[in-house]
Amino acid sequence: MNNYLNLLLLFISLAGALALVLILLDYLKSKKRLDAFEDVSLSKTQSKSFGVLQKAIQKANTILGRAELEGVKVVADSRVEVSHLKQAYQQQFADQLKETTSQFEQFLTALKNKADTSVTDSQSFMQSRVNELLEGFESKLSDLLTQTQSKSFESIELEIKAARNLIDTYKQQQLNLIDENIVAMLEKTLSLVIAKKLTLRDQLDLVYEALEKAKVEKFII
Amino acid sequence: MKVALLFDRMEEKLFNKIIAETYTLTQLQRRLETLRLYLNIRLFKKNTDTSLPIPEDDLNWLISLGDDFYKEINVKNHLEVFTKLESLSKSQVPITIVIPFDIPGGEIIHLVSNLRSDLNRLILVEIKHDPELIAGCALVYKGVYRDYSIRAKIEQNKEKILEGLKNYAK
Repeated sequence: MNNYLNLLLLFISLAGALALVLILLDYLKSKKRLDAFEDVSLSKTQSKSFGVLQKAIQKANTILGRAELEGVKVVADSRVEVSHLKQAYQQQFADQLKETTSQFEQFLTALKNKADTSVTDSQSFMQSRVNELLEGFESKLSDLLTQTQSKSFESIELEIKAARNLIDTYKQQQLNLIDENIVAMLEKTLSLVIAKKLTLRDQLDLVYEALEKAKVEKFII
Repeated sequence: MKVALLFDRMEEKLFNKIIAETYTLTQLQRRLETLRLYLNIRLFKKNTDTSLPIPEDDLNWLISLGDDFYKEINVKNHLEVFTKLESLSKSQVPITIVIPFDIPGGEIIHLVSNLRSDLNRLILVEIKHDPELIAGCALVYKGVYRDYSIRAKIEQNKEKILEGLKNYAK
């Protein structure tokens, strides 16, 4: 609306300016004519031109007045229009606002319902998932414990078996050692006893016996 | 060739005469040394001094060899003869008898004489001492060792002995 008014005022101003320019041109023309016919009819033309000028000024004033009136009319009309428009817009805005608010309230209500539903759904889903996980964990844990137990028993049994074998081996080694010791003691005892008890003859008889055996075996030929 | 053969036969004959009264390898080596000494004196020194640095037993043995023995050896051939005698002594394969007691010399002679008559050859022995044999003897012949002693018998019958002892203990 302001733009329309400004435009109108501008137009009026331009019209006024144009009229002035025309008048000035006319004046200059007439002045020229006056200059050209200076000698002849300076006063006539001068008065004529003054009359014309006055008419033009009057016409311009009239135009200006009309333009002003028109402008004021337009401004008044536009003000009325603006106020009407303003009212209409306000009404429309209020209606729109009301509608939007109600729609927004509806939307919020729907959103709240959806959120409640999704919260409930997700809670129940989480619950069921947690239950599933716990059950799975429990079964795997029991499997693991069973396996661990059986492996522990196996390894313990192996250890026991190895220890038993070691003990048996050690026992056998010790028994063999004892046997060796017994034999060594026996040999030592016999060497001490026989050396005293056997005569030279007996010793020589044993040597001859050994030589006979060697001959029979064809060891010495 | 024939001369060499004759010469070899002569040395063998001399050697056989030497070992006829020699019973052990140690004794043989000692007697050969004694013989060398005696011959050096006899062939080169020509002194009649009877105080020779030779033990009486060996001296008696040297005399017992007889003049026929010494006729074969002279100044010219004595080195050759001795080299051959030494080579013959090294080629001897004695029987080593390992015993746990001390055997008198007379018994060694008796033992070796019996052995020689059984084997029908002039064999030499070597006597060694090992008290751990307890009784009996061990023989070594041509690098082979055979144990005929009581110790070996104990080793062979170890299991039976231990079994018997365990049964006795029960």
